[in-house]
Amino acid sequence: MEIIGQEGSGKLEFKSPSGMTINGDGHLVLAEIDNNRLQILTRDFVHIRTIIGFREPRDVCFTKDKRYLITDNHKLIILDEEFHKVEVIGSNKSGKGRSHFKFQQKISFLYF
Amino acid sequence: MFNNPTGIAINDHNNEILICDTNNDRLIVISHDFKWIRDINTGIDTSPRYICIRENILYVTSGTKGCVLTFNKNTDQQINTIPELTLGLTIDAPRSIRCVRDLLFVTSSLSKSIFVFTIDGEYRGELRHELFSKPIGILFIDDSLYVTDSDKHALFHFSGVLQ
Repeated sequence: MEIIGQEGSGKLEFKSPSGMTINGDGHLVLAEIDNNRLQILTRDFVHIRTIIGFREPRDVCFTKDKRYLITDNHKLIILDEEFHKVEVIGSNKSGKGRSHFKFQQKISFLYF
Repeated sequence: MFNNPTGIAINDHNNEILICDTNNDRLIVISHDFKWIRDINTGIDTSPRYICIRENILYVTSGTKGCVLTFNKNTDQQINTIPELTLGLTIDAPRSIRCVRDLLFVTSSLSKSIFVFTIDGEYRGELRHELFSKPIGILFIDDSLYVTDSDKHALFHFSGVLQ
């Protein structure tokens, strides 16, 4: 058994990690609610990449079409495999109606 | 529009995407190209958190009911709960759920454990670790189990768990 990380905002540190998935490269992708980011690690825990610009991401999924799906605040964010925005459904305001099932554009994501 | 969406799952048969719209007590189903298809009502005050899919059944953790709700994937009708309500057993604050080798694994963020059930809902035990504080996410890859802990701010890795 191994325990990786401690509380913090650096590489291989976490704040409230929650949902995770495996991407097309076989890497682990973790959503960190209180760091507002995704962290990509190899399966033996080498840091690959950090993607910022979220607002409490809770879960992440990787599709056959090589898209990342991320539930974030009151939104579903869709990114391509290079973490460029494809679509954002919903907004930072909660709602229920299907009439509000629309796309939002003014969000960008950075990775390093 | 969503109200605190949480878990996401993909139906491998048709590539539909299912999202737990937690505070709206529903699942939202969208197409692989992100068009709305339908909602699945999970019931009043169910707070669906995470979801996994096996064959024709959706397994959805209910944050407020302390159980897993099962739905027929084709008719959207609820089938039953895991554990059965009559057993008097609850999963304290269930979160992530995965199905591996015909077993369901459900994190219980307050019990500090991972509940294990058969796909038919039979309780098989709990995986515990003395350092678990608030386990949330789980992921199986080959024989490895990865668990995120949102209070420990850490990732646990167990190898050989399915051997």
